Amino acid sequence: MNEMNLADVLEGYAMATPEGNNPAVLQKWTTAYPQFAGDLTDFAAARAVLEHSPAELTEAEETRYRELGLKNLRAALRNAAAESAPLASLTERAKEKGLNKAKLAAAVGVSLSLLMYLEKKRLDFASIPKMLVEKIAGVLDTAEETVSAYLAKGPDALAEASFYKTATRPEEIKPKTFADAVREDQILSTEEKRKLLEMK
Amino acid sequence: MTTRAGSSAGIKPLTKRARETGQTFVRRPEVEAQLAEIVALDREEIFARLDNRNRDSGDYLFDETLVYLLREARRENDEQTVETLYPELNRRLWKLFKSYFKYFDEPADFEDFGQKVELEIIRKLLDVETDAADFAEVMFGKFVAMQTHGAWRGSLNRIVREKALFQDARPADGDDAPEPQFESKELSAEKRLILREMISKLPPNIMLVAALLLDGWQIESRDENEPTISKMMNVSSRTIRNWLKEARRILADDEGEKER
Repeated sequence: MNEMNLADVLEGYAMATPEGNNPAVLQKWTTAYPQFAGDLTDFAAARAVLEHSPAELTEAEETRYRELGLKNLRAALRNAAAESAPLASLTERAKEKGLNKAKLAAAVGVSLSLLMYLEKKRLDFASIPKMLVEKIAGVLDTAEETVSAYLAKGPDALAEASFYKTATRPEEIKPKTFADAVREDQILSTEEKRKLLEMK
Repeated sequence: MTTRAGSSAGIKPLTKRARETGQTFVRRPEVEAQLAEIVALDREEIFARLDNRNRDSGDYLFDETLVYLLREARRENDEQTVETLYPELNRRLWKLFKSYFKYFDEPADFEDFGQKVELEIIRKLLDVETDAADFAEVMFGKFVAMQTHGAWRGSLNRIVREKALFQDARPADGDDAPEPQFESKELSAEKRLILREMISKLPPNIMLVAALLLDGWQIESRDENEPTISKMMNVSSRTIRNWLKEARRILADDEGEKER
């Protein structure tokens, strides 16, 4: 069987029950995909709420949510445009938004040196908490995928070469893990380090 | 948005395949029929139909039709049309979100939830490079439930925890307490009607129990693999039965109020 992701499983269950939830079918799906059993059950419950507790909007709510929605739509359109160009630098993107390096570091909740590790892509991408990527994306008003793609690229070849006086690289420098970089940081307080290390 | 020149043959087919069956997604026949009709209209005629909120009217645009039009306008980089079409979809989205309103303590929390989910939905709908949002053109309501279930679960857990704690702090009902009214395997038509009528008057934890009972879920089961209300809400079946007794009290009070 093809490997199913969460969306495939939820869509599959929804299409198997077009008229509404069916506990027997739900059980079949939760048994077949135990890794998604919790999501399937929550999804079915969310459907039950929509089906059995219909609600109406007041005129004031309609106006309010319309404003919020258009704001969201415009932000998404702007983001989509920005996403079409890959991120060249975190600090440059921040500058476009009126944030210098110190302000960017403060907004993201890291020290300047940790920010530079991120900027230079010198951290093992797999070790960077998703929550931090989300935070950076939020501050830079860009998509998480764009920030992830930037951080996952690894150090630029040119930047790496200029780091050494000789043309030959003495040895491959292993990227640091995020946790190590936090622990070694000289600026962050113990509390700040704890918060960063607890990030998922 | 392609208009006039369009025809039923010009409707962009869905490309996503269901992983389990390998079959390509298809829209409902009534949506396909509406699209065939709508692509022959000019832009202003389509916009005029956005004002029609009567679901029984033939002119009422299906959610899936709106999604199709929105994505087509996006493919053509026609932001003005996207902005004209979107508010009606936004209204329908928030109408659905409002079903979850009671599960949030503060209106601001509910708005945060709605905005977060809406932004994710918009992002998916605007992504026309992939077929990730094809499902929204097949079953829009279920597509919305897919996006809400995770965000809503966090708030639900907190409410259920608080209500269950409150329940546990109360003296336990005796084992000889009368059997709960809504515990039969199949709800009778009369009980379904009562539940449907009273559901909006119930606190959120009991509201969810009522919605799940209406959906045919059991409170508990001997079959450990069967999804049950008790497992979904992570509370004991005894707590749920006590909540149902509370529901009957609320209903009785409400009836008493009406008679006064």
